[in-house]
Amino acid sequence: MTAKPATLTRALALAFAVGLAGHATAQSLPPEELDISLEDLLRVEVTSASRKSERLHDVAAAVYVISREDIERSGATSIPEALRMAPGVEVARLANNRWAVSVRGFNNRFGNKLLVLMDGRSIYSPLFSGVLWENEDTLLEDIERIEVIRGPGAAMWGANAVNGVINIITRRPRDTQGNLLVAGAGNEERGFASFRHGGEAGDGHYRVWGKAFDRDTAVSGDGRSGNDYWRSGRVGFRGDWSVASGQRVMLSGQAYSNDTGDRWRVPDVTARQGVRLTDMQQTGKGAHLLGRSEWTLNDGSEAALQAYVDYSQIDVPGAFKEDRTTIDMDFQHRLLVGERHDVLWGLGYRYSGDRIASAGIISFQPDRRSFNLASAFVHDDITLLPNTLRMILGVRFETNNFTGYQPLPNARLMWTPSDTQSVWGSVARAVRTPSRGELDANIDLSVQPPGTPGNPSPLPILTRNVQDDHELKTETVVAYELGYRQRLATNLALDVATFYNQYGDLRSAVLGARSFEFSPPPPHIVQTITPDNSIKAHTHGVEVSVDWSPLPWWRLQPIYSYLSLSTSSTSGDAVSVANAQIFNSSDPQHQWSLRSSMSLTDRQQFDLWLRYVSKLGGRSVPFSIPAYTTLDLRYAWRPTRDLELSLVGQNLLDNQHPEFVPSLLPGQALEIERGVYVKANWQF
Amino acid sequence: MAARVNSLLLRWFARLLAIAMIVAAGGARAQTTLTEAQAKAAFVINFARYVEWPERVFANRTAPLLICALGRSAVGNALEAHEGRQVQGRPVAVRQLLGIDEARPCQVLFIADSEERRMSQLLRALSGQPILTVSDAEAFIDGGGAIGLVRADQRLQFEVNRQALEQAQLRASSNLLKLARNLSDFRGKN
Repeated sequence: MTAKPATLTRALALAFAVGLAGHATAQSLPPEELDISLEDLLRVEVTSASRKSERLHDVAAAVYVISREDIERSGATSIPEALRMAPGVEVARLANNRWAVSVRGFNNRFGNKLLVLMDGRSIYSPLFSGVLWENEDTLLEDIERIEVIRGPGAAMWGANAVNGVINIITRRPRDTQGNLLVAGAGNEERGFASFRHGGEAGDGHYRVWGKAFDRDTAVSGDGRSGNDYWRSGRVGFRGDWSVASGQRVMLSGQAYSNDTGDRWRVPDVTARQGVRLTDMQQTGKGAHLLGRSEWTLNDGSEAALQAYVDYSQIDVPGAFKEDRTTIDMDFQHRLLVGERHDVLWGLGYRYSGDRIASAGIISFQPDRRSFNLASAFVHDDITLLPNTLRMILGVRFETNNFTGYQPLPNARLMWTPSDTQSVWGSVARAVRTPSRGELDANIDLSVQPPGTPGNPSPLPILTRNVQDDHELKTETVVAYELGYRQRLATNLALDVATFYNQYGDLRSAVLGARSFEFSPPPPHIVQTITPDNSIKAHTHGVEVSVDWSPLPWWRLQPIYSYLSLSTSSTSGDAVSVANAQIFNSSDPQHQWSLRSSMSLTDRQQFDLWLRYVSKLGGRSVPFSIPAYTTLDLRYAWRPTRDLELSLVGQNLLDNQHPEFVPSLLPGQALEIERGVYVKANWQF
Repeated sequence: MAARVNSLLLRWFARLLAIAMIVAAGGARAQTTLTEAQAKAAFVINFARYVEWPERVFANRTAPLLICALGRSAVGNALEAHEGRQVQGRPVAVRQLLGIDEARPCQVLFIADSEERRMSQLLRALSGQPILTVSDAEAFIDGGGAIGLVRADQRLQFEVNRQALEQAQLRASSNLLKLARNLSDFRGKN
């Protein structure tokens, strides 16, 4: 055992020496060697460290880009798993088919302060105010990049972009021509297969694709298997055409069917423990169609018009069934005014109507409701000193029939003292609109059996969340950010972002009246709680990411995120105080990860991903998730140019570990097991 | 528990580094590697070799071939390393521009992807001029640019817009067109 650190030191020293040597040759490349023919250039591999930093150098926000290559080399098999690569993002897996994802705090299965868009279409659910990650997916091989923008993006993207915006951008069909077949199997990933065909049509390109998978269940802490099975099938297409000179049209669509399981702890006054473990089934179905047109006007300015219609159904027999139709239209226009003003303005409208049938412990009143949102925004990117100093002023005005009118302003400053350094700062205000669930759902939350410490009375107490007449307000944040980027060398880039956020009117609840109910028997006390906006909070934190290629074929990407969150109740009510404590304990204070990508030879890759997440919970809350460290490894081999075989191991350091606790819906918290899968990726 | 994880981690690292050392020492990769900016600059120089300008753009037989760079990028500096080299019998001169109005004397203009937001305005300002436009910005040729550099995994490829070349009165050799990703018979795998 004692020999190991010595081995490590020696290896590190060697790595350093080799790294430096490699670096030196790249720097002092004599001019003749730059004389490379075009044919050879097409074969030359380039180091990647500069790519992100170059593109991001001029962005006055905390942005991290997860590229297609990053996704492939991480071994991630779903979008939320891929999001773990970005700093400032918290991803916790509740079960094999459920995730809690948030940015800069307030993590929850319905991470309600994070807006997520896929090719310009919002996948934020108005029912739960959050993303149902089990329903949102695409062919991972089609993703060009995932832009993770931390901090409020409301001035640009609208309400609910409180703590961040995630943009999932798929590849252009021109880049996905030919056929692709991906198939694999493993212990957790029981089986998956995808197919894509890309071709030309008229003056453009298209692709059609389909994917299906079946995933295994996780286990509970006592080793029993969960009910979190997941079967999914999905088809989609995208076509891009150049219509006239300078006009492009994009049309895309998708349809899916998703079958997932869950095990709920259903509050039950007849049960001795107050809960009845019930296996639930959740089916999701949906389809959308999106069209987008971009054209250049005579004055050289650019305009874009986008519209989509999206239908989805979530059915949880015995609980609720939601049918929802969303229609969204968006116009934007970018023009240069003089030499210094780069102006972007736009208009948007969204209708989202639902019909919700409910049963058992949940009831929605009314059962139909529509949400209408109109918005207008303008952004001016002002050059104060050419190539050195820019100021970006933006504001978005939104009005909706739930909470009325909101201004969402933002001011940013971008200073680039040199080609390799940039400093940016931002002040912004953003809001979150209450969800349909928060406004209209009555839910039985828990039962305290008689004669327990919380309930010395002889009757069970049922706690029920009920709506009352007074309106829920929007949650607000005012955020201050400061960031720094530097390219320290051609193969080394550094990005640091800090923030301080002040939140007001966060949703909580207040204890209401008590009453007796005789049915269903036995007679029980009903304790009501009603939602209110009685929590305030402030957070601050730092996120650091480094992108280093010590050798041309080796890339290291360490990230670190620190978050401090402090909440307090403004009402002093017992429920509000308890909720504030839960908020305080739901986010890891420290997270770090290290990714290493090695292209061992032309045909072989070896990748490693080590992650650490600090503990959740504490003394004042009824849950505790210990800190955990995980390791994922991937080895890929290309026997021919068109075929790649890979072996991936995930969560290798332990047999199982918990990552989060359920919230709102009474699902069972499960533990994530070690997983191994093999995958073949064939292009023809 | 923590100690176990730690020792496990150390072991993994030691093994990983050992693999890295073996591969590095073996010199398994004799391939040339360039930084992305160096590679892009080399592409730009090569494009200049395969394109014919109308004779009138040059003042005389020995006038330099002027390659310009616009926007914030390391490619501009990488291009400067090629200054003085001979292309089509002319010495290469490199100039970094502050604005598009300075582009008129250039034969080749590399526009960095930092200018992506105002690309259509830039291209409009250049329209009709015998300037070979090259950029690494996304969808460059769709917006009317002549040659777009695109990245495919670890390698760079390029796309050619023949219509844009025609409008700029430039003639590209078939060797260049053959190697372009969007024109070659190899139908853009991956």
